[in-house]
Amino acid sequence: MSEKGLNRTDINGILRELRSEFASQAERAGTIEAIAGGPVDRDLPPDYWRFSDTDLENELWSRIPGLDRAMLDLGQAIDILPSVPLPARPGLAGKIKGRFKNLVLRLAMPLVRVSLEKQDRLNRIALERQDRLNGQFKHLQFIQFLTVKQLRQRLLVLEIENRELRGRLAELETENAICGEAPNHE
Amino acid sequence: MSEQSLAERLARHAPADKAWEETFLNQIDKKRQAGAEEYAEAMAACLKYKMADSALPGRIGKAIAQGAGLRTAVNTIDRCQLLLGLRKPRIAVYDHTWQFIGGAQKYGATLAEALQETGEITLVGNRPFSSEHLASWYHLSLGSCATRVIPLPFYEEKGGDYIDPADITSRAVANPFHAVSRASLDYDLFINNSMLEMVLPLAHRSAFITHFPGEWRPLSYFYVDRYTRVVYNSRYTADWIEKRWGFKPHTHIYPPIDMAGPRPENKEPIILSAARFDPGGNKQQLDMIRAFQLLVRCRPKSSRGWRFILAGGSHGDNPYLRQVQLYLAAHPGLPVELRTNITASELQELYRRASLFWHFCGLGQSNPALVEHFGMTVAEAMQCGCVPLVFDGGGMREIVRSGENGYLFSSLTELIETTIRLLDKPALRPNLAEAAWKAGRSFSKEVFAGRVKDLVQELLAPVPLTP
Repeated sequence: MSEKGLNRTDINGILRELRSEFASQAERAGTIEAIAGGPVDRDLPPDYWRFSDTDLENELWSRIPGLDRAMLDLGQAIDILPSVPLPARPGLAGKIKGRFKNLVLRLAMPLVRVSLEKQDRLNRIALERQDRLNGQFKHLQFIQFLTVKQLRQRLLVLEIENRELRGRLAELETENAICGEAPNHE
Repeated sequence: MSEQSLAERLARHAPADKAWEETFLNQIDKKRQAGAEEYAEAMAACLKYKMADSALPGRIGKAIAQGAGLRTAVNTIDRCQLLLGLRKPRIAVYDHTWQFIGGAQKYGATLAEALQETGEITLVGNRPFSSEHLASWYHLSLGSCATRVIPLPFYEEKGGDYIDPADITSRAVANPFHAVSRASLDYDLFINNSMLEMVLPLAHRSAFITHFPGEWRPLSYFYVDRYTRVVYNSRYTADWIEKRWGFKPHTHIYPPIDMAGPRPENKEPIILSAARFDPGGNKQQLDMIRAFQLLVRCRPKSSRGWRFILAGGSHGDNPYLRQVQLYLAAHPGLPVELRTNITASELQELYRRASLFWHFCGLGQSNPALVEHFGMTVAEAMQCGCVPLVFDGGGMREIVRSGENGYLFSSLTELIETTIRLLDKPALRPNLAEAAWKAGRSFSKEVFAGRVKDLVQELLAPVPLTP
């Protein structure tokens, strides 16, 4: 199959070994999040979930082959792959620049603190008020929740009663419509 | 990323230049689960074309596991095996209620039967069950299906036959169905037939079969939108999925109906009803008996010689069935017969003989879950040439065309008037029966199997499926 002599059996062996290694790691994993590679539950209310994960992923990744083909059509003039590896750490010039910026910031810090003292005070007061309002809001939400729950229970009872009454009414109407209007053939 | 373009890239960059490999590995953590397909293609191309470096899949695999998680790593390897044609696809069909007889379970078992040639099928459940039982209950051939039981400690402690998902009301309770999610990682395609939205699919491809969204999107665990495809059994169900769960499902597959009988001939004066005796009375058999009683009382001449037969399954001590029996005992002169727990062939014989078919499920209901989502028995009756008179609601609107192959009614008065017309004018019945018989064939098992195979083909593409 390949130029350097890897045959189907070799490939199968490599893949099987690799899979069993990962599968046993997954088995040992304590949580489902550890297997899935990230959080699996969301706390957003349903109204905000207009697009599912699958929809989003399909939408985003379905564009990749198109882009790819477009690049090939351009005679491979554009290549998203860099010709040389990109450096992950800054070079000497970058390090010097960074240290200089740090120094300037440290020197300027006392001036910044003094000039922003008033603003800091205002921020603290605003935060305290916000916390208080949040507490009141939560309390209100809880009361609303209880009221809605009680109303739902009441509605359920009313629906059951309504259903029973409708059934009875339909029976009476039918009896009235058929027996009242049509002559008895007997 | 198509395999061809990837192969070309590899030909350009590999094996002399390792830059592409480094770039590829660096990109992995940004692509999450959606990358599994691309990683698998890259891995397969490496193994198939230029890169004969046996350590490369290991390097790619480890980078994927670190960057995108173990799930993506396992999915990538599975997908790579399929792309290289090293094995058949592994498909799981999960239902936590395999041990019970029911329409939804029949849907899942028939789906498994249709896919037997496509891959290695495993029926996954949570309580002991056997494929032989399923095969005999639903008249299927499930010889090549393996079974797997995943016990759920939370429900094992509670005991009882039924696993009730309603026990998990919030995220304060650990999700017991994560055990099933973990098991789903062993398959290329995981099909959830059990309407359990609490099972997170970890297989590379997955499908969720929706029989009806019984509840609003729960605040505990909800993963239906993580499935690759959401399948619905009728347009009625699709509408409610959108209303209750907030997204559009993908694929429409009607349930399989395999009652096809010969062309309708020699029909007898029988009105038939076939429905499970639901302990809560949702199928409304008692209302049907009362309607028939009214019909007999008001039109004795027209209804002379006609019988009303109620066929249906019942499990254990059923309070609703007892209520029906008591009512009939109090009205001994009424030509009504009860046939409980009859075999499929006995039911088919009843369908063959009956002229009319009544189905009330949904009449006077305000809860959409209590309206028939599809109406399997209606389609069964039509396949045997019974003229259906069914409630105008739910999935039954998709089966019956009122006035062409049966009648839809929205009130008891309408039903009785239509029935009287059909009793008084027997010449109307053969044409309607013929039309019903023809329409019933569009819900056959063969049509169902074809749609299921198309779905799986689409999900596993471009892996070729065996014929």
